[in-house]
Amino acid sequence: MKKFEWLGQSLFNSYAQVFFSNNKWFGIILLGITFVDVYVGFFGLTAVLAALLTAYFIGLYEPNIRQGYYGFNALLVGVGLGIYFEPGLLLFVLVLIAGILTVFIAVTMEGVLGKYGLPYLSIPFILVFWMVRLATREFGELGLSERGVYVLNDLYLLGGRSLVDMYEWWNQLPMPLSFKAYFLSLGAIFFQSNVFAGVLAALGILIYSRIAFTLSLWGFYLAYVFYLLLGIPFSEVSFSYIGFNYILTAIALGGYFIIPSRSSYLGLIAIIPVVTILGIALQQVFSLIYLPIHSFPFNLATLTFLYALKFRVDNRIGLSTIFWQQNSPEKNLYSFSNFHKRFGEDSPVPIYLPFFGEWTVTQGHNGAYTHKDAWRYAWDFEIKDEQNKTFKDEGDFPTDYYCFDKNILAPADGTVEAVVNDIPDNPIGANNLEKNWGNTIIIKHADFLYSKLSHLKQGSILPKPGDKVKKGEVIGKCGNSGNSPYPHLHFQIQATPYIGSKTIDFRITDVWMRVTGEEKLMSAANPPMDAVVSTLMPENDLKKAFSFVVGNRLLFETQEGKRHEWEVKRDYSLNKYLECQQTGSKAYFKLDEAMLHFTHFEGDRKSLLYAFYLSAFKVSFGFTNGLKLKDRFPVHMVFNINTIFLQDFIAPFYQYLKGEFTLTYPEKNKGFSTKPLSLKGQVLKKSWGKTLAVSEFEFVLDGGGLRTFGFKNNKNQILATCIYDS
Amino acid sequence: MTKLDFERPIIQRINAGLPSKYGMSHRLEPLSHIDGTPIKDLIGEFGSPLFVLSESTIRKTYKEAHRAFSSRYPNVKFAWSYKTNYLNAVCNVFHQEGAWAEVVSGFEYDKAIANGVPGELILFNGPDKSTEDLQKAIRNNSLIHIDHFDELYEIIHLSKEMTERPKVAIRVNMDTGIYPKWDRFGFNYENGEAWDALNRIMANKNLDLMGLHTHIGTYMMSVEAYRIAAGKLADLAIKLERKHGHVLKYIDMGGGFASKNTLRGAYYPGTDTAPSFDDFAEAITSVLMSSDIKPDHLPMLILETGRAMIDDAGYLVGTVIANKRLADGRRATILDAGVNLLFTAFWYEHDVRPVQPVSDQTEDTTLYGPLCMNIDVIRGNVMFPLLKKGDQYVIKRVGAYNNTQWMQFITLRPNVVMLDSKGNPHLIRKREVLETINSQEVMPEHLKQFKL
Repeated sequence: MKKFEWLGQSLFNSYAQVFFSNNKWFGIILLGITFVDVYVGFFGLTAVLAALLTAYFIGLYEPNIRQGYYGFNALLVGVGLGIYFEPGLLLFVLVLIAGILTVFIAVTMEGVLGKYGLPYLSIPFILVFWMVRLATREFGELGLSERGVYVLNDLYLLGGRSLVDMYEWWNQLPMPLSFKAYFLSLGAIFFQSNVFAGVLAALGILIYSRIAFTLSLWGFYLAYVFYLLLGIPFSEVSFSYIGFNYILTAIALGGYFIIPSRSSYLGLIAIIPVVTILGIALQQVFSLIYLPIHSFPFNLATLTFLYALKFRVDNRIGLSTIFWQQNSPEKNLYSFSNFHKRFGEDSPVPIYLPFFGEWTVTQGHNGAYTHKDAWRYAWDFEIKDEQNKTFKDEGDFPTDYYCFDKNILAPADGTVEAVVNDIPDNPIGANNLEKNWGNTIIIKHADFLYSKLSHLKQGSILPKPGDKVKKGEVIGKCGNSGNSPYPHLHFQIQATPYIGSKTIDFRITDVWMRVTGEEKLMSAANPPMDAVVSTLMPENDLKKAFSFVVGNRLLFETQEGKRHEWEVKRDYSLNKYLECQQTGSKAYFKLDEAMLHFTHFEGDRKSLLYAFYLSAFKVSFGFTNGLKLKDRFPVHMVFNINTIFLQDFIAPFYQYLKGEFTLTYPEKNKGFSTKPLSLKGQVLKKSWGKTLAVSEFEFVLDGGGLRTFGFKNNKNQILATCIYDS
Repeated sequence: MTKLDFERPIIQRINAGLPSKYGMSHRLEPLSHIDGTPIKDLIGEFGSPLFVLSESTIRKTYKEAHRAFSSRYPNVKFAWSYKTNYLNAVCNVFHQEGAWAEVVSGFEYDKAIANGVPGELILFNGPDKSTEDLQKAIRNNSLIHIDHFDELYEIIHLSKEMTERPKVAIRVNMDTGIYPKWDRFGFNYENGEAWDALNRIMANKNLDLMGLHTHIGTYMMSVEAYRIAAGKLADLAIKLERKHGHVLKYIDMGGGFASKNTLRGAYYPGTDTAPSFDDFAEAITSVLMSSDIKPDHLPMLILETGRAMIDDAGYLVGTVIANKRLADGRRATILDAGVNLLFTAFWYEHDVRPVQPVSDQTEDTTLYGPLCMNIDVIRGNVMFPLLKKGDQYVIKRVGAYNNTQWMQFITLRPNVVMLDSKGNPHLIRKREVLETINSQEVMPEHLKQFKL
């Protein structure tokens, strides 16, 4: 039976996926709803099982099956057929075939739409359902069900008087007409036109996601108001059978495929009327061939809209599409806003500072002198002394300038694209406007990513065009050629390989920066004017302790003698994570030469791995004495559901819960000694600025890697010893 | 109109026309303030003579040196050479700036520890390390720079008895094309002794070989020698990696950078001839960067430069005791500070300046110290303005070696003050009194009484 262990999860998810969820309880509630009409429930289940088993036996990717991606369309087909036709063997066979067919159509749609990075939504359901509906017109044996018409009779047969009474009680519940229509619309997704099913579904949505719940109301009422405005007669039944289009569109575009935000909510004000019109228009067309349109307007609107968004230049401004689906608008939102803050400006290809030591930005982006228009995203660097002077003596000669003749390094691996090396260095104060850029090297780091270093010293550039250079390799010397009245380095990133190409806005990776007296270490920085910048040298001990290599194992033993073993793994999308062998929990991380960032955790929050995830959230391998690192956690990663429930409702607009991370480095350098190094830090949970809870942690490490890891919060205190790390 | 200062009358030949090979007659600009603080006030408060150290000059020089190296090489550390000036306040300024400590005796080692330097940030150099010193250094994880085989054997012996693993480097001497060759310290490169020592260390399982050290000489006026030295050390590092797969943690290029003082007998003044930190840095780092050492195995570069770091920050100020005429007719001026305080007067032609404004007139003068000894000469002959008894003088660039090599001879050693970044004086070493000297002496009972 173990072989079918996947089936349970896949089954519930197939139900929950109708509302884009993978919440088990939501799935169970929805399963229950379909059984309000036993036959409907039965045929729905039949179709899902047929689809899931087909998917499994033809060998589709199991995690996708588990997510219910191949089940939910079949479910809709199953319940749809169950409600339209008289139950019987023939219907059973038909449902089986339809279920199997749905999988193939779904996979095909996945292939076609996936290429455009689009979901296939419920298109397979619509196609199969239409197909079956059209085909069955020829099936004499298949009787149309009359259950939809004589509901009470059926209920009486099933559950007697009490069931009928309950049904009536629900339907007679005193509530505004629009409420009723809302619940009916929700129920109608499963072809259940009763308030009871709708209320259950609404409850399920609320449990699944507060944002989805508010969006369902928002979408529905936008349509409702629009109908009133248009003066279209509002008939409850006809409305309810397409009403769910607005609800689904609102959830999909307001918070599921797009990060929920003020703009996504506002966007719906325009989108919902479009869906309304689309629905009415499609009804006109499809009524000609006597086919219901079901969720077709929702599918059409959502796909079109998502597709159009793909063509935007920058996904970071409002209406951001999700890049990592966690099947919950809240999780997507919290992860996104946090990720955006932490890495939003990160560069896909890390570009580092092209020099040793501390240099000062003497002209930043949009600088006052020459960084304007097409060349506005550039930096000028010089070396300054403690008097803020860039030269010694009188500064009459280029050699008086601290930066002159200093090594210039390759900012990242790449191939040399162009070199100009023969322009004489100017005397101080003179500009060579004819050869504006002076001696210049352009290095290609990736497609459409070039770095350009200019005003170098005549004859100092070592590599030739076509040479490969390694990050940190000396490529030339700072000079005073071109439009350079005094020695400085001009550094810019551009998308084309030409001297004089326009610049692109790109961040420099792992920069230590001192600006207006404050020291900070940034994983991606755009150093402003007057910032003093340098790259920190990674310390081997820290690197050894935190540079997890895929395949490594870490074994910890707590003071109670409990053992925790973690393995470093990598998933299909090349995301690296630590996996706890005992709990199966996973902590995802991002690692470069100088820093470790944990990005995500899933699994048991009582595990040691969770404490470790919180504590090693951001670790730099290089440090200055007493350096303090700060960061923010995604809200849902540190707060439990009780605390976060209310926050969820307003999360797209304001986040009052904050999880803060601080890490403090030792005050003293330890040289080459094998003395242990201790890193201490805190995890603060705050609500409206008030601290709710503080956890403290400490890492002790030495040349051999991590030694101990201590974590203390108000509930318990763990001290784990790292037994091995290999 | 204020009354002009009296200057004694002199007779001098008019030197008109083009300057001779001795140059124009030049005037010694008076130096009345140090870091904005009047020297007169300092002498008034702390007595004469007086050593004055400028904290801001120390920090400025340190930063300049650090900048010269760190802007050329990815991993640079300075270690403060204690013997150059181990007044605790001076050491701590360097430690605040981030310098480790470089010591050459058990006494200096203890001084560094007492100053709060972590043991692992102390480099222990020198030919004289006692067994106790070595034990202490091993226990504290200090970096021991081995000078000779006997020391290596002793460390190997100690490593068997002790739990801590000694962290060692060897000092290498070599021919860098300069004279005299400093071959008395460390192991020679050319005759293979250094390579032999390294192999012995590698063969020993109890020792951690951390780095290589050299110190090619003192008051080096040529950067070329450093280029050669760095190249030879890099060769050793490469050979070590090739043969033993051992990656060195650091290369210590020692010190010896010339300061801007003028050596005795030098034709040009030191201010014109001494290479800058940038020159030294360029020579050393360019060799290391372009050597065959793998980029990710580039060792930390440690520098122990002492003299060039502190010389400029030190001033000796004092008062003229008397003027006299010598037998050959030359003038002699007796100052209240002599070679007892200014040991470096044996090497340098110190820049001695008047404190108060003076006229353009100068006279060929010998500057003597206050000692009743013939050798007590600060400057043999210098065109010096006409100072009179009670006038004040200041000697520039005396920060290096004088506060460590001064003698309590005939007179007592004076106050030392440090001017902080705002120019406020802080007494950092109190003047000696009779009690200071007598407190160390013990009188045998039978010598306590005498009758005259």
